Amino acid sequence: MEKIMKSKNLLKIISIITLIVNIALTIVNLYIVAQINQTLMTLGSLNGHLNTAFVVRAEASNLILEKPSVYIMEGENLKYTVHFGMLNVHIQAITPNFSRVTVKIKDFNVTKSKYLDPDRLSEIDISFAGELREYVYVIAPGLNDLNPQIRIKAKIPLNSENLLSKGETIQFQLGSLFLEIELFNFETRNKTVTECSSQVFITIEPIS
Amino acid sequence: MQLVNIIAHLKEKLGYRIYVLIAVLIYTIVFSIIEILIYQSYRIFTWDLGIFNQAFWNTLHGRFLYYTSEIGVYTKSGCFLAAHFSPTILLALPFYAIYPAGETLLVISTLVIAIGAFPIYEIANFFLKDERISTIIGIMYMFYPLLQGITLSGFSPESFAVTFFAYILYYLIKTDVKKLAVTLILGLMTHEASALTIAAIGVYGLLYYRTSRSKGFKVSLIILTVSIPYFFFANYMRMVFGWTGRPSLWREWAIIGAKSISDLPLKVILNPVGALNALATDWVMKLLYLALLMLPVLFIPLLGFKGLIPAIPYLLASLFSTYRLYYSLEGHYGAFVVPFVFLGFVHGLMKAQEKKFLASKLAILAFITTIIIFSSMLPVVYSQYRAFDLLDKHNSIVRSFISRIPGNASVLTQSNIFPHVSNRYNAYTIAPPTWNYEYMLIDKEILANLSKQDIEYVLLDFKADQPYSISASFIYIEFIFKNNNKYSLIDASDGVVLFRLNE
Repeated sequence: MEKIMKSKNLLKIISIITLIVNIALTIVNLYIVAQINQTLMTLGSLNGHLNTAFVVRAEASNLILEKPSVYIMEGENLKYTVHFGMLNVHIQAITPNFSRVTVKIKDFNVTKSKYLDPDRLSEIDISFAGELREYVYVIAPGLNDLNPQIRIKAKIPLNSENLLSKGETIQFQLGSLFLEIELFNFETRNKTVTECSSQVFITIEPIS
Repeated sequence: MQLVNIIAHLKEKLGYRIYVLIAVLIYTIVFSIIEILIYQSYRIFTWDLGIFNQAFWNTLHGRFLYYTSEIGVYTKSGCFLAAHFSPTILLALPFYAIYPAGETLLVISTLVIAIGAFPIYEIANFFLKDERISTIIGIMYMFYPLLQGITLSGFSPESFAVTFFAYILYYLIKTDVKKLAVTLILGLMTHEASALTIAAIGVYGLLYYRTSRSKGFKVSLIILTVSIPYFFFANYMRMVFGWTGRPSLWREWAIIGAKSISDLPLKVILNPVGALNALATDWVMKLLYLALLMLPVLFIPLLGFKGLIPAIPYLLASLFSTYRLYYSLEGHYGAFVVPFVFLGFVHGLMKAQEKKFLASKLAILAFITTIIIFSSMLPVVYSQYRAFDLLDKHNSIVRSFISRIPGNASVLTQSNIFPHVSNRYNAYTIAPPTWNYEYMLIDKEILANLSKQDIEYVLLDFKADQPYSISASFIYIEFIFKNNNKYSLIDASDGVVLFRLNE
């Protein structure tokens, strides 16, 4: 008799525990369902946006132009120096269809410096290395992350009156480089243009 | 009722061969349908199919085996015989002429491969003197995984080689000299590398007949002495037809220092350490390949090793290589091995019989094993093609875009679409640039050369499976974008984009 009572009590305890666990799990369940609904609503609104292609984010790192690779002389005077540097660009684009992303140099604003020839500032030439005029990518529908590493070539007219003395190396701000990022949707043929900029620094050293 | 009567009549006439005949027909129908479905889904490995479709189409239109996709890569003339000296493939030309399309080539290829079951049946029957077991072996041949690999590769010279090897073996064993002479010539002309395998068939014949006075021995000696010089002749003919192969593309034996298969034996002797290194490279896959060769036939060919002799030249070349397709169940290279696995199997069964094992039981067991392996591997292999959704919207879009290109217009496209447009003189494609860096450079060169021509249409499918989608992007960046002012976007849908040359 006592054994039966004990087992009945055990059954009650197990039932109560089961009930409590079930209630807890139901609450967790409801919470998860609510979260999913929220996510689905967000996704739904994103889908609305997805009718058009757009660049979510376009950033460019600072560009450090390394020490001159080439010195171009005119007689005994230094005419230009040629520098190279690596520019890291980060582009995030959303597109409903396959699209093309192009990255090109839009503009360059020079910052005056005593090391630059003041009469030939307009001759500063910044371009993509390797004769490339544009970087091109084909992107798929959805969110695309592009991280192009772009090698930049710069032709700089240094001020021969202010050349550095031996052993001296200096880095100064050359200006701001503006990139144009164009997104072209093959299906709708819509174009979206975004810009981003990079601060350009240049390293110079005396001619050895 | 009439069909039953016909079968009964044929059964009387052909004996057990009727079952092999039925199996061959079923195999051809079923696998042709599967191949065509895959082909229509733009997912089949189509590099070769595009080449043959274009080469045959051009032959019918007065340009002998002319194709464009390897000009400057393997051939300067554009004639296929420069890439591989394979005149035997011209046997398919009359049938192709009836309906000149990639589908025809797939049906021909599947049928030619399946026909190989007849000589395998005859060889088994010759040695085992049991029609029932021979029928089982004949049918088993078609289920053998390596033969599936050849079938799935579509049309190739190897599709012919595998069947001609089996016939050469059969007529050699039977010492039917006239038929042997015909099949020997056709077999040699399937592919320049076939000569080495056929020479090894000669070696097998010498060992099989042993006595120099026997007719078979003499015939085997002739096979051997004809095949070796023919190998060099075939390679010379490739030069005549305009071979320009770049040695840098052939890196499969680079560890040993060999640049071609004819280079290999000497280099193995001169560089034994390199040879061992080459053997050890990817050894797990190589071992797995050997195991999968033997597993369906329960390793019985090892008992009848003599039968495996003709497979040795290819097996050595593949095991010394670092090119995975050579030692994989995929691809058409299995042609140099399959008939000899079955010859070894038959010899093995004979050995087993000598040791009081029942050959019939072993054959049935091997048949069941082959079927199990076949049925477990097939869905995995075929599922990757996702070819059986006939209403696939994307494929319909590709088809509709192709239909918008006029039949006589020049066209550039990626290699999975190429066979569908290659029945014209001026269709162009590139190899997927992901094959290796060298191919990427060649692709750039090809596209730069094509920029000088006025290609009228460019069709790209960015949504295709890899590596074809990468080819599409590559063509877009290196060709369309660089000639941006020359081309207009005609239409785009679901990643499929059509460009036309501005007028």
